[in-house]
Amino acid sequence: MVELEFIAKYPFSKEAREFVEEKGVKIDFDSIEKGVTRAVKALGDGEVPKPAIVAEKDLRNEVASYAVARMIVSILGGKYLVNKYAVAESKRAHAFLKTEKKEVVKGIAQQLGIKTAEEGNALLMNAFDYLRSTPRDVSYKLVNRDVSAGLVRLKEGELARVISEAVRKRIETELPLKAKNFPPEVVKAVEEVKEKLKEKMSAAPQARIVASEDYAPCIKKLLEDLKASENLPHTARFCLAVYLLNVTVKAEDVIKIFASAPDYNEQTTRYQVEYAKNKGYKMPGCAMMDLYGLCTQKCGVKNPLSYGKKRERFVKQNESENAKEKKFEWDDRY
Amino acid sequence: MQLVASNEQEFVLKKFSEHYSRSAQSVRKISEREFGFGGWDKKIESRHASFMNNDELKSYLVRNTPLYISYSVAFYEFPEARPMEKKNWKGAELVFDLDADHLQLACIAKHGKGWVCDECINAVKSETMKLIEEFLVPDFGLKKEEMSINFSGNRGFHVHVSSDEVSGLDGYARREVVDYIMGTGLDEAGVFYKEGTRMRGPKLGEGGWRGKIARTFAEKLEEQKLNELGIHTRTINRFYEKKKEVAEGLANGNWDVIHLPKPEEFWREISAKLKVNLGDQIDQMVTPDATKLIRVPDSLHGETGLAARKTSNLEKFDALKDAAVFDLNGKTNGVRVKVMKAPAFRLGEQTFGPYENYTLTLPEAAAIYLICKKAAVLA
Repeated sequence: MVELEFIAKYPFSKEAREFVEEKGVKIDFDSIEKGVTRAVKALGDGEVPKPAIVAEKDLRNEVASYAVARMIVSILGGKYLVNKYAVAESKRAHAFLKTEKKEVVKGIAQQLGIKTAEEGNALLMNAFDYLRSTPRDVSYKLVNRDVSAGLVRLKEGELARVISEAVRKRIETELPLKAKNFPPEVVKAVEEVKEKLKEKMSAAPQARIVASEDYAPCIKKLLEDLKASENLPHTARFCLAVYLLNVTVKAEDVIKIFASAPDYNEQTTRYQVEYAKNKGYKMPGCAMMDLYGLCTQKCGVKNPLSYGKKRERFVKQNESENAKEKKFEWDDRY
Repeated sequence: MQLVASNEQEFVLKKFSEHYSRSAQSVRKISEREFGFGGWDKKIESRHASFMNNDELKSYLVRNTPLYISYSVAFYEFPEARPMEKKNWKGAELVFDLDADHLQLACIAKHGKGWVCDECINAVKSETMKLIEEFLVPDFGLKKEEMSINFSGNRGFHVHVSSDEVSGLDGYARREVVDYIMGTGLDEAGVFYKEGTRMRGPKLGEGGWRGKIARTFAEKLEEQKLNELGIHTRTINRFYEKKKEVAEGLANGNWDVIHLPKPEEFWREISAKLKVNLGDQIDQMVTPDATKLIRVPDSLHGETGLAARKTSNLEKFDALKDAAVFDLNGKTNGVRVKVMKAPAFRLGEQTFGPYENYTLTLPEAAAIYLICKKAAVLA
């Protein structure tokens, strides 16, 4: 039972794999129903609910639901859904890991290829493993870490966060599953998932702004990518937000635009967009955009803001605001 | 490959070919790398080439002699496939490109942009040593055997890290390494902060940038050179008077006695002192780009005729001498050239120039150097 509980919590673990290989997972009415819920919750709400565990049967179903949900996401396909599912599963893993004893956390880390060592109360982790699974947050940037002799020192609770990042990456590389012959019951269940997601999506805040003709090509591309639900890197998000704020899109609307990102979190986005607005960041020039790999074509301007019919207005605005503004600096919070 | 070759181009390529016929190639994991070649107009004119082994590369170099030869830092399943996605990226070395050009040295005013002097080489050498001695070894825990250092063939050095643990790092992770060695994104508010009424800061024994900051401060305090850290004279004198107290504070992260009236200047100076200068944003992109083509170590550089020589003792390495492969000592007859314009430059033990519209016979290596720099023609 204890082992089964562990497997239910961490279905990506070695123990879970072995369990599935040995005993198989039963694809039946119960497990499909749970799998559908898991997929819908992950893809629709960005969260996988913690299981309500009553009996051993529930645990088995919980494990099976992970397998079913993975099949469903694979059948649905697309980077957005895979990424969104991975984010949700990683959050779920984090929620469990936070409550575990250090030994358990270390064990799971090891399974994910993360070597750790202990020194007093601190956990030490291989610096390159750390770089492979660095949470994208300024406090986790290596430059702000205690690193020495190839080891990064982690404070309590931080390893759980790093592991959940590794879980996200692993799921993103595993899905969609290569196998094509999914059980017909699961294939059928996908229709149900689609219906349920449609309901959820229509209730979700819709981005009111679509690519305006006057936006620079690089910005249009970012908006398209976001619509296609690519997980944009921080620089891309930052540039997009600053651009939109500069062409006088309201902060409220900028936040809504980001709602289609797989890892969207309204609170974080709101904080970041408002921070960018209050700081009055200057739009990075085309040279910087190119450097970030965001420039899509030589459109003949030096700053994306100068592009388009509203060029004069944008430029003027940007210039007058720049006078009192802070210079653009790389900031990983975006 | 040039369709119409000038005498000079023909001459240089013939010499390069002779050199390649004399030397064996020893590219690690050669069959998994993409190669690129360059000529008089561009350092990389063609790419997506691959070789099964070093002998095949050697015979290519002898017969089709390019002026520049680069290989991918990445290893691929199909190095010649295109587009890039079809190559199947398997991993990549972690490389650092340090160039005197990035350092904005004062000597440029003396010899102009396209030229290099001992000051340039020494500056970039010490930057390379800093990268290795202050970052890669102590912080990243890399061993010297896992690194290979080579002269770029012109005015810089390349450091290749080939250990398995760096191989799979993605662009984000590589960018993090660059940010680390350059101190980019350092959260200053997290280094010094108030705890109640107490000012807390980094301790001497800490790892990472915090420890570096504390140790540099302690060192400059001891040497009475705190002015180098952008701290005002009046403040400094107070620190010197309370030296013992300040030093004790540094040992346990208590910065109460240390008051920095102009923190911006302190940050600017201390990070300039500690960081490795990889140049501007574009120069920094070499490391994060895990598909980059970079000069093949030990190959010739088409702008100098010097070899991108590998060195196991950087400190003692004399680039302008050790990288010369053509004759410098009059063993051959020398080459008669007309030099349009060149500042004084050193090769081996000799200093040549300055020249302006001057025809003379130079040792082969010096003649090739000037022709490659497009500063001379055969006379």
